[in-house]
Amino acid sequence: MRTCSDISVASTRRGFLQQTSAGFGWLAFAALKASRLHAESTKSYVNPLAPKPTHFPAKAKRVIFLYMQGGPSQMETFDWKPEMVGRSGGAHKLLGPVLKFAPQGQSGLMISEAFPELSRHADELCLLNGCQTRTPSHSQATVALHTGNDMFVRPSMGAWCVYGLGSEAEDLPGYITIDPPHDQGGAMNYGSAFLPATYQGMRLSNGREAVPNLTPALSEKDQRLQVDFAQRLNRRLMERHDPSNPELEGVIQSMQLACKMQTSVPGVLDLSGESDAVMERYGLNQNATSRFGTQCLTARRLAERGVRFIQISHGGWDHHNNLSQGILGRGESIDKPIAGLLTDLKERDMLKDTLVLWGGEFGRGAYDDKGDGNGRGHQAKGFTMFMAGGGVKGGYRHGATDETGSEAVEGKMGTHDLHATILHLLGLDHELLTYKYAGRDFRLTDVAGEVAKDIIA
Amino acid sequence: MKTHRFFLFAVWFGFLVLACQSSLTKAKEEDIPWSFHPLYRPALPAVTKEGWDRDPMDRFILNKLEGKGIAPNKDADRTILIRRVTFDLTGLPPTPGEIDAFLRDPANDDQALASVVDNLLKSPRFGERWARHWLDVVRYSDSVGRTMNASFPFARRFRDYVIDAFNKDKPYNRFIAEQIAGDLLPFTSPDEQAENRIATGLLTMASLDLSEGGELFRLDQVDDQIDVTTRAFLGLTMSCARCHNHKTDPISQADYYSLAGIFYSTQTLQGQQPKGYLGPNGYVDVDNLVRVPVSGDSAGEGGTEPRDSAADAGDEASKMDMMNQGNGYPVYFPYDPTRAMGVAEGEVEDCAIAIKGDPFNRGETPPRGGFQLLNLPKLPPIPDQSSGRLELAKWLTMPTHPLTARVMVNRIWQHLFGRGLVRSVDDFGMTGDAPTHPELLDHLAVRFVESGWSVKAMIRSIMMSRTYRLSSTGDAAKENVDGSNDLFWRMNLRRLEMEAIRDSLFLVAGELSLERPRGTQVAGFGGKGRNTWLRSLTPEDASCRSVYLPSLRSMLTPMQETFDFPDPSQIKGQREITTVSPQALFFLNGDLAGRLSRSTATGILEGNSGDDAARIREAFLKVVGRHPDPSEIDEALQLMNELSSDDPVSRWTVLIQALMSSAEFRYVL
Repeated sequence: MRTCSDISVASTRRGFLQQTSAGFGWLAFAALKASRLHAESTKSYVNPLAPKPTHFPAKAKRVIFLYMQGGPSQMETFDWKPEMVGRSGGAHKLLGPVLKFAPQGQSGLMISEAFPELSRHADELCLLNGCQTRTPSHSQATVALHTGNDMFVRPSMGAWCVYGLGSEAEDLPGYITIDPPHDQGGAMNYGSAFLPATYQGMRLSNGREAVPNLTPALSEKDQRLQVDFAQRLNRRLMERHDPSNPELEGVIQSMQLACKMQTSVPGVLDLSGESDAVMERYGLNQNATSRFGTQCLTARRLAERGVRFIQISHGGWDHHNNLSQGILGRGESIDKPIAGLLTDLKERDMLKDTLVLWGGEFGRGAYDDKGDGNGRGHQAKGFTMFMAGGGVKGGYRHGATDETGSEAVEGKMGTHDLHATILHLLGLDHELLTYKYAGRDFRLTDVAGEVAKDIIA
Repeated sequence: MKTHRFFLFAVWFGFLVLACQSSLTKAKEEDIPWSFHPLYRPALPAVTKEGWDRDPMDRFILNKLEGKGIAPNKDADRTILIRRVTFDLTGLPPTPGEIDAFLRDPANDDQALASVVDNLLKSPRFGERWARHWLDVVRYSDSVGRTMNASFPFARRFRDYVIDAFNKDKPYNRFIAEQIAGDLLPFTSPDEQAENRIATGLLTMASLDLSEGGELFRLDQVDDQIDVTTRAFLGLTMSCARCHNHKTDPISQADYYSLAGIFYSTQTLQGQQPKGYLGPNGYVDVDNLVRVPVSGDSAGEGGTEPRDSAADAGDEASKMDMMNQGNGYPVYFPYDPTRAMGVAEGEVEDCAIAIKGDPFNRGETPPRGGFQLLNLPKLPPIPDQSSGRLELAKWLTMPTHPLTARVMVNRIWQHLFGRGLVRSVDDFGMTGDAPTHPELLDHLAVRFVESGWSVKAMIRSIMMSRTYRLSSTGDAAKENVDGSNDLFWRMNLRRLEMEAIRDSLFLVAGELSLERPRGTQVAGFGGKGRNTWLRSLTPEDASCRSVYLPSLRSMLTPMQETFDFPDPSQIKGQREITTVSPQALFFLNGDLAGRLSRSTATGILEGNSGDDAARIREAFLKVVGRHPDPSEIDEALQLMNELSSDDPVSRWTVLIQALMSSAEFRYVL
């Protein structure tokens, strides 16, 4: 593994930590930092990314969040509304499902025709039919879904997860987001806000240059000398000027990680070692599915390497118009890749502790949006997400909307409830996972959040 | 003079209090956001430690610190101070000569600092720095974004206008009036008329879906105009009330549509057409622009000569390359100094409420300009045949308007301290943050208005204050009491923005061009996907200052993305600061950092005839703005000795690059 510091000989995490602390003289600020980290009282340096104990035994070790940007229609995907069948829309009239549903698997979960491959995994899916966000506006709901708060800049849920659990990845960031959208809050959605910067998501692009400037400009030896020189300057600045500054610490750590990523990122993105069968499973050979399939396969590889929180974003779900073709088309591009991901995780015995989460920032209304029977407006009061693996019940339906699909009426899961449940599955108590900032203890779930215990297997 | 001004102010104030008694009594006190309360002149607070303050504003800071028992930090030393001041005013580092001159200046700190600040305020680099702050706020972009992402070939004229306005220290009330109603203002010369019209470009840069047409498109445009006007100038999100009454602020849907009527009666000439009106240039329509007079001088002054970049390059082939082969639409527009983005009076028409935001389901029609937001002043009456933009501009710039001055001084404070007195700089409503120092905010706002809305005077006063000069060093005991530095016991450490990082690299390498690029800087007529051919004609590694690089919606450059450049479709008064590995990779492996380190190294080797230690001192001074310790000189020598290359330029390049990748280069202490 190429690194550019004296610690390149470390091959185990334990060795890595020892050498890091000894080799870099971080003890001075480490003591200060340690007091900020939950559940730790040691006085010695603790790498903030080191794995940390959970509050109670965890069901899931990692999360793969498949974020569907735009607000997928629950009515054409996973929320079957038989009472609405036959409603053909028209100006401000109720519009029934424009796609067909059928019972799937032994559980008989109703899933629309947009997901033929995923339907084969019906018995792994835990549908959350009573999801809610606060506002039906894309940017606010998106930011709320990712950070729990649409009004202030707050750490993203991925950042909270890595803060709470550390990372098992030695040469990759703990939180990676693949091709996140630039709009609707942009970097806020994977930011760390007041948490130390090391917890924020690293953006990975799909394409030739996943992370810009990854090819080393110098030989390994020369780069190590160069980086050691720069890091000495950085540590000196920090020690003399502002020993507890999390941003300066972030500069030091991000440079360290940057060096390792020069080899680790090309490694994890190089899919050439994967078998043809695996590539086929993710739909890498078909136009419609190759992009999302590549991202899903990359997510599985990142998960194997210990990355704690992985997000993939998929756009185009804002179906004010062209509802039926739109959902079928968007559905096709993710159906096989998600099915492939679930199969693959299961084969590797990783589905049991990998929580896969699918969904958008909100859902869509029961009424015809444009009067042509083929579009729906935004709706935040009731929509569907699903989970799979990670200790949730399979073939299970949690929560429900009213008979028109307009509002969640049971098993309501607001943003804070969703976050509380994810943290719970990861072995963290959302009320205990706090960070002291500006004079008070902050939580991902603010002052709310109820764990949906019913969905836990 | 001072007394006279104060008298006027007191009269206005009294009038306002009387005028809003009635509505105040109607609304419950807790429903009124703090920011709606009248501006007032707070008494200077008492402090124990006399002689510390350098400006009355310092007493507000010190008073709170003393209340908490925190002693403010000492002043930053001169080395740090000149770097801080130079970056804050120009977005560039001080040169070694400037640093040494300041260190050796025998005058006392106040005088030495004042002369540096005054010189930098006169530099044209000032406008290039501060205009960018404003461009963030007003979602400036060189393309429309959304589905069809057609270019705005003439947006740059607005950008250049903003730069020039900050350099001229155009009074802020005038700056507002020109951007809202420049076309309606009197003028005494063709140049002034041109400037006024170009200023209204502010209202034309909506991010709109060009695949929509008709009434929805029109309402979307009006919505953007409301949004930019109310958020940029007032810190209010009135656009929330488009479909329903505002959930948290006292703004009704009727208020929204009465403001909408003003823009509804305005013609927006942004140089594009939505679906249904496509001409030979696709979504770009150079006839849909305002006409501006061109005098002989003004053509050259703003770098706005009627020449185009491709012609400058003398490269016909590259021009041909910009023709879309598919359908023959030209995607490249020659520069025409008689045109600009802007607005004009349209057919005067009040705007009916769109029920739930539906353009085809309309309700009552509130008279345009008739809105009354709680205790805020009322708009002057709008004549029948006018859109009301002039009256809106007058309203926004009333000296007693409680929001306008507060919002702007808060923005200025933020750029000098890293955060505003109100942290949520774009939100002064119920959901925003309360000010940490409400009296100080009002003290500054009143001074701002009384100084004739001079941005430079406000910046100068703040920079000469004690508070601005404080060292940013940490202190465990003080952090225990006030870890987030709410009380300003120290200066905040601030990371440089993408522009300052890039410009500094060029400056240090001796390659920064101070010319304003000429002609058209973007091409692309719009369309789905690659078909748009949207592109910047000013490459990211061009040596001009970064403010002159086009910012294209949905097409930020890798460097813009890596260093938190804001999404240009969003109103963004405060940028995110992230610290991620790609930033380190940019310095270690990036082409630009590599090339400019090499130029810097070559320059030092060729220009400095001293020994290696002298050269290392120059390198430190240039790149991180300070002299190295002896041990650091040793470390630098050792680094270069151990490198595998024998080539001196290569070895020095490695050292320079290491300095550039350090936190000290990227942070202002």
